[in-house]
Amino acid sequence: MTDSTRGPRRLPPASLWPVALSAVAIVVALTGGSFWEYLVGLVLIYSIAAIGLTVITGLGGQISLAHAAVFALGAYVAGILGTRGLLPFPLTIVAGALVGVVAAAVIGLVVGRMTDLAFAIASFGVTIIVQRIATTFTGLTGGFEGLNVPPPTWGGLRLTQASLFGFVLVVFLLSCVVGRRLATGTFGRTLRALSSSKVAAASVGMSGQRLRTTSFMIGGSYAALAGGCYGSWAGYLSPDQFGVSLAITFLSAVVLGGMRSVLGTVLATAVLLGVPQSFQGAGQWTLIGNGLLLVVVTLAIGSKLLPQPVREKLRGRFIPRRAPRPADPADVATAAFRPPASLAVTRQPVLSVRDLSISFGGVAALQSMSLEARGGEVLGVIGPNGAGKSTLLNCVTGVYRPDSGSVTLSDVDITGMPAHRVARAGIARTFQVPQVFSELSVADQLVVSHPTTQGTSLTARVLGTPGARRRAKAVADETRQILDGLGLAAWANEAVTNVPHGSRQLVQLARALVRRPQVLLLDEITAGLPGDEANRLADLFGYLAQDLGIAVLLISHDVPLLMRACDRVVVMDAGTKIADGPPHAIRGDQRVLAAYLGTRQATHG
Amino acid sequence: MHAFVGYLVSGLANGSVYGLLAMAAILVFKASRTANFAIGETGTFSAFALYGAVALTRLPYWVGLLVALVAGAVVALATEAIITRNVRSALLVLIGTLGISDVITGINTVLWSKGEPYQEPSFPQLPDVTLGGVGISGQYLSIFAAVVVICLLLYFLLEHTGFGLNVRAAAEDRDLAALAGVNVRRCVMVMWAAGGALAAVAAVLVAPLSALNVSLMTPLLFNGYAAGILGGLDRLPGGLVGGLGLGVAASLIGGYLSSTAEDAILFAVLIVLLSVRPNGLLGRRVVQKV
Amino acid sequence: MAEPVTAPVADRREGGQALLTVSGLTAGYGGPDVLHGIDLVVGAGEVVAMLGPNGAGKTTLLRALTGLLRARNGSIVLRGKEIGGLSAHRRSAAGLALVPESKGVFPTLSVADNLRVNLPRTRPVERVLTLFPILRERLGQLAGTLSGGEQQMLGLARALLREPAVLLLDEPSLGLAPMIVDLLFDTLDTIAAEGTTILIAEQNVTKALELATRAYLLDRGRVGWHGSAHDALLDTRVADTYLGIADGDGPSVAAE
Repeated sequence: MTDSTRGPRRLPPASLWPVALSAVAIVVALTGGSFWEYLVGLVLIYSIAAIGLTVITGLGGQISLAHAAVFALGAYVAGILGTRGLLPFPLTIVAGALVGVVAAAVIGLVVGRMTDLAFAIASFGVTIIVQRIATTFTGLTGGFEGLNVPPPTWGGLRLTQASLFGFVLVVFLLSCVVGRRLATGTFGRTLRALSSSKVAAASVGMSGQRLRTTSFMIGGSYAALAGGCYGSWAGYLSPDQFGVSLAITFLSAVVLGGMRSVLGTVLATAVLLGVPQSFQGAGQWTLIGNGLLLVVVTLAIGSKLLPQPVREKLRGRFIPRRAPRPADPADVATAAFRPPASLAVTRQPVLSVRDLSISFGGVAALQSMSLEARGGEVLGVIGPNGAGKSTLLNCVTGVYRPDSGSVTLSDVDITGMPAHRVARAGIARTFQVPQVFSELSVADQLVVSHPTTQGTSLTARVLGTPGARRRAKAVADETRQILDGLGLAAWANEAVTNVPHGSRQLVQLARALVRRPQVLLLDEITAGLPGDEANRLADLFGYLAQDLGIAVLLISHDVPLLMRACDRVVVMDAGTKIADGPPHAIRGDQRVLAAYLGTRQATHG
Repeated sequence: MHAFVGYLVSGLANGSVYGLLAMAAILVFKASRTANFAIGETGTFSAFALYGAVALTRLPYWVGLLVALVAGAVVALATEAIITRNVRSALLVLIGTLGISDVITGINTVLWSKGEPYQEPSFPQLPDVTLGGVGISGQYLSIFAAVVVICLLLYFLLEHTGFGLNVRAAAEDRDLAALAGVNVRRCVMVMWAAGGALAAVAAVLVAPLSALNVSLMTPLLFNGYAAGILGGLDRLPGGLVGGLGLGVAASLIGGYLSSTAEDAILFAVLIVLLSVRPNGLLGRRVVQKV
Repeated sequence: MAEPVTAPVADRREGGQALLTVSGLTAGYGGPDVLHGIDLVVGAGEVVAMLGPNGAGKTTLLRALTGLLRARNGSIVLRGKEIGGLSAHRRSAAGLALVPESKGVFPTLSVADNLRVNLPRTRPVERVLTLFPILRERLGQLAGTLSGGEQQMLGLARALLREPAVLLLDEPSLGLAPMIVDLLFDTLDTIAAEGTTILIAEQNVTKALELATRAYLLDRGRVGWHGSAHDALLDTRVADTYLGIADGDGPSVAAE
């Protein structure tokens, strides 16, 4: 593994399996007679929809029972247009897909405000609503009677069942290819980052709302396309085909398929549809079978019963296989930490906090706190536990909205901005308790956080345009440089969950640096790191400030580190600033000693 | 006016059933911070247990009711033991309980689908009453009476017994409760069992009104959860109020607007409400700690 | 890492026979060990202070003692009985009561309910109310609406009601105003004088050492020093660990 930041390891026949599956589908359809032909077509169509749900649920972590509703919308729009002969067949399907995408966008916008559980229930409601609409508007949909969809026509020609099968197969193949690109590409990893830590995702500039909406639109387009195909394939639409049981079938396919594997989802769909059909008479038992399968798979993925490596394997094939285990970075590298000089900021930033106050349930956590941090200096913030240091940081970065006061970054007012916009404005941070994207490798933490990755259009990424590839290469290079510079190169392809606690602080730092921040806020970055490592960090902070011009704000209890690393130290106690000055002056300050040691003599005089 | 009172009463009766399911959902949520989507089918299973005990083996109704309650509690405990205790991710727990739900439906189907629908033995009925010229069915009255008794019982157990206090403490902060010597594991199990028993009661009350079949509770599960979420998933009374509100709203919508689109309109309102108040109408805001 | 230095004082007998004996305790959260073989003794009637900067492992040690965190190695003996394998609620029954850092109350339960959680009916809450008169006025109020100091008092009161063999306190002064801290420590003095055995983790070194008879200094998961509270006040190592003042080049912190 020389190319340490290369994306996920590809399974050897990766690009071939959709073709192989299609070949199997064709053979079964041709030799099995009309029953099997119909069933195989159905499996292909349901698979398309289920792959869409893989994006929403498997990657985005949202349990949606509205997938059946979007599927139904696509089916009805295409079916109604087809019945009236208004559009050629492919355009009816496109129209259905467009309606589905719009509906999915609305669903996605609403979700962001709900908890996961509330959304699961609300999305169930969406399926009910669409089902009732289909029942009620009998003029369009035929209501309970159903809607007979005529055989599709294209350019005046009636498509035979065989050519329709070919059409479905093509849509299926495209869905698989695009689905795989989405799942294994940077977009899929970004969604997984979001679902593993919303706070950390916002801290690297990801807009949760926008990503979620995008994932719903993509998933919705799959469902609506599949729905459009379904109408023509089945030749008949009625509301009871699109109920909750269909939604649960899609969800089951995603879970049984391993949550985020396109191939797995397709195979699971085949099992879920095919097994009950092929074993007539087993009817009553299939529900029990399906249920047990869901239970077993849930336990296999989610429980502690299985050993860690097996679970990882089941969980996602995209976490690279465990590389020969590197030693702790502290033992590997003894050279100074030196991330690339290309991170230098162009304009000297000034972070200025004025009279910030916030209270929680009547308890004032910050009271009129002010401070200023300039590019080129390392500013330490110390204070006893509970002094409000982390609260200050959370107010600056938009995690909390302060009750009063202002935060400006180089004259731009960023007070009360949501966290992802603060991040985009040029502030990067680490968290006291490391917040990493637990489902990604170390290198991918940086790749998904890189402004260039986030700035490349999704279409370009999926199509793999030369521009997108060039940019991905640049991101990979810079990721490698930064990981090298922090002694993390050996861990690059390791799942971040395998990285020891202390080194996760370094991973967070690397992720913050890839943002090319103007201001870097570090919360207890040395916690859990061995002493010599902390010393190397102290030198690193000087380099970041003086050579690169970043404003480094260092919150820490580690007084020796602060003495060594900082140009200036601000002391906080009880939510406000009690001292501000160069380290040696702070060390002798009586108020500081009082705050730390509670020395009575000092308090009184 | 008469029609209105009629809608109100039937809405309250349905709403009490939603409320019972909502309380079951809340108990589970407070115990384990997750949902049990098998709770509806657990109820159906219990309703069949009652039918089996009373209609087939001719046991007295009260014995049958006890059998149903125990069945509900046992199935819920099994769900907890199989899924929740082993799986950490809330998302996977939801899906796992959907799996359990399928298994229970399957078992119900294998055992009972031959002679559907069945006539569930009725809860001891109160006489019909006429209030201001409007007749109220005794069936509804006995549902109200049962729900009132259950609520009083739960209130007494939770608020006026030492064990209830321990349960409330464990639901609020597991670590702190354990430090105070509370056997948290046992409290969690009791809450799950109580949730299963509540689902059983809901099913046993609602089954005589319609026909007992394997999909008896399937549509009600989501109404129950909707009621719980409206109530904030936080306190039991919130779930009951959410359930009653939902029941009455559904009944009025069904009566005055459209009987076919009743649930659709209801869920549309729910979605709007939840996008404005993500923590439910009675829920409390939580500050995320980083 | 330096070897633990034993103070020259024969301190272990100071509190009479050992109530709580911890030996070779190793613990951590998922990752590497946070505690590396802690040895610690608390004698009957003693007040032992556990000092050390944030991250030294004080909270982890208290969690491992009470069973909130499973120890990986080592033994915990309370009143001659090994309790290391018991679950948290059993250890509570065995006689350990911890007032955890900052959130020692159930915020949505009333003050009275907070006190009565898992309390035998025969044990009236009256007796702690004389110690904390302010709680008497607040009995019907939800604990979450109390001030920080009152919440700390409530947590302490609940622990005391359990009549623990050893009372464990985690940073009781955290986030409290100086006046309230004084009040709290006066109360702790009273409790200690009545014979309650206390193990207290505290960042406020002066306060803790005024209360304690003996002290342990934790540094990165190891016992770096232990000895009498009096010696701790004089020992520069304590100041070093906190403020990094080495070789007397800074102002003398603890000693005048």
